[in-house]
Amino acid sequence: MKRIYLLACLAICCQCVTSSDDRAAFDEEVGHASVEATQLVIDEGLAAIRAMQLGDVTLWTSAPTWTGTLTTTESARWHFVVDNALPDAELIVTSNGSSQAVTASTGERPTQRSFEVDLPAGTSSLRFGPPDRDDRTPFRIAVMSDIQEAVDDVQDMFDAIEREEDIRFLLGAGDLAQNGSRDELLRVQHELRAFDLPYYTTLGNHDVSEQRAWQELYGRGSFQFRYRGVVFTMVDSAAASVGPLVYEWLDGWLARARDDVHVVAMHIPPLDPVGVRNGGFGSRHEAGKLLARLGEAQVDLTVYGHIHSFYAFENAGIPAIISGGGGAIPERLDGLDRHFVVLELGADAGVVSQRVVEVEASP
Amino acid sequence: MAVALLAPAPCAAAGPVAPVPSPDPSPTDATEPSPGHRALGVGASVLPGVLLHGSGHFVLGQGRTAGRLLALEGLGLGLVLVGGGTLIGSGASRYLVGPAAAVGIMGFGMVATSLLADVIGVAWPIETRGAPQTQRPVVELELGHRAVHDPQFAYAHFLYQRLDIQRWGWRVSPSMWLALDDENARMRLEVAYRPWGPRSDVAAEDGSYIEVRSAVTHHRFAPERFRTITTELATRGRIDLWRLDRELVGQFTEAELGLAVQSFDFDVAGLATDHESLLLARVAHGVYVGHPRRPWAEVKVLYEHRHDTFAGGINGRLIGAPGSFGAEAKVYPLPYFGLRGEFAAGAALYGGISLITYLFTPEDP
Repeated sequence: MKRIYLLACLAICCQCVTSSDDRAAFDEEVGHASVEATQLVIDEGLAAIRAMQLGDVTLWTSAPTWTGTLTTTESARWHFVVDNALPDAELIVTSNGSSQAVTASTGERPTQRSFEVDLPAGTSSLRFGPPDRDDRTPFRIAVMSDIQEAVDDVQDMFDAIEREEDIRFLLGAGDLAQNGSRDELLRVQHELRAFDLPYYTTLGNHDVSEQRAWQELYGRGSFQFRYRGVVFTMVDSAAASVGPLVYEWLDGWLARARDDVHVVAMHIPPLDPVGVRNGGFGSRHEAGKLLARLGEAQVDLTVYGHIHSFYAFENAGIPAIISGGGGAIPERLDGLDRHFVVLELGADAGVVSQRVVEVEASP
Repeated sequence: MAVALLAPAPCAAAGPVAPVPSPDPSPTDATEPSPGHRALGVGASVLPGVLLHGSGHFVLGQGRTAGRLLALEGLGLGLVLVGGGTLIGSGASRYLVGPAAAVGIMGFGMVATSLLADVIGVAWPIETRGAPQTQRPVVELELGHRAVHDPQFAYAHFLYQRLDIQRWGWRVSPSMWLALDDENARMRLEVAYRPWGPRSDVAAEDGSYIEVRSAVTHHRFAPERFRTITTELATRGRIDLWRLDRELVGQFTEAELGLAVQSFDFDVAGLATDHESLLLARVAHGVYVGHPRRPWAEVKVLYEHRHDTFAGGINGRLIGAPGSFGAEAKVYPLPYFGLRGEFAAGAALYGGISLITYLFTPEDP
């Protein structure tokens, strides 16, 4: 019965997803808000502005670090609430060339950071991120994608990730929801409130049924951020293709990260390692085009979801992993239950290690 | 598809092009319907025919044909359920996905053919339907234009050339697509053997055939700095549907299954070659119009599952898993000269028209 329901959901989903061109346009809107004569801009859209009124801003950050500017015509005390933040993230504010005193506190949960600051009229620069943002020593992250209909059991996964030592954040390659409605995406965020780490993720084909819902709740589908010298580029491939505008952005991001350790994540892989399955791009020509660009830019690791198992392989010689073990209908006969992957990365060391951690299904 | 259901008939002796085949000796179970009755049949072939294939023929009083089409639909749906059920039940397991997809696609082909055969069969008076070519020319040449609308690539116009040389059941077909506005070229060499069906040296009973074919395709994308080489082996067959029921004369169904290995080579230092498997599966349904050596045409609609064509697979809402849908038509308004057109819609739109000519037909003096 559950599978019939899932088939019906798939049929519904096929009818109502947004196009990749639309989503790229929505991406461009992320990180911009204004109230009366006050404007807030988060550079490169690395945080979704969930709410803003004079003196109050609520953000959902899709990256551990970002910068921005707030321009206002009157002095006021501002309260920034940043969700999905690293627990030790801080906000540094500079106004008219001088640093402002910021009072930081942890909000209702470890991943919610709260900041109070007095801002003068004019333009203030915002710099958000943890103190170790420029540290170049190796660090560990977890990778998990494809939760979908298993959202009821996702706390098991979060608990298992929290039990791993020194994980800084969770990286995702999409399909958090089953049908991608705003309510479902909010439900996943509700579950994330009980998770002690932030989840930085692109979107999948199951996340995009409602226009702008993803962008308003989670931020951009395609973006790039840097943490401790390692560059992470998230690409919206939810349509089994990458939109022309995203290719334009990607060219710039690849050039910018050419000399860095560079991880590129997207939901649908360009090529399915099991070719007869066609779990990759609709056009193999486009797959070749994208892989040539990633290879030319010396990307160090590609991370995918969509296929509900674990695969470690190479595409165009670039190491690749597929980790779709967040709980969605699993690939059978692969000898693997739900899982996530622990990656150790370093700005100078590159991809140090990767390890699959299996999480048994709840009884 | 129906190829697998029906035993091949022995080849006819070499000779001139056969007339419309009518080898089924059993009498039809209905008289020629009036225009109004036919219109009712066409309506029934759509509703409830979209669910109950054969409804159109049933309304025309052709119960035997209707029953056979319904049986074909049932068999097709069964295969779709087996293939689709295996895919879903196994979570698209790497070990089962290829056979499951192949079974599902073949089932889809049967379902599509049973629907289209019903609609066409009731809409098109039997006496005006066409006949197949029962013998193939020794040489066929094709030269034309192909247009591609693919937002991912700059190319849009191609010169297309193909040469078929056929003898003793063998066919060698080199072909080339050369971009006129980009550095993109696709070259293909196909070798096929046809143990049954129309050949250059043997006239067949009808247009039905079985062909085993192998091909190598080299496709160079110079601006994008990669090339692909695809090596494939497949079996393709066609069954003229009068073999299923004489009321379906003038229609045919096709199916193809095979496997390919596609290699991606990158013109970037340090990048390794990728090797990818590729499921080859194709189903088609078509009709003959007119008669060979008179104004004649063959038109078909098709589903092509392979993802390495210019059209590729349907991305976006269908996330790349299906292949492309398309149509092909070959028209010979004059002896020796004709046109071939094709269209496909997948991740990209692909289509064009060619001039074709054939030489050294067995019937030539």
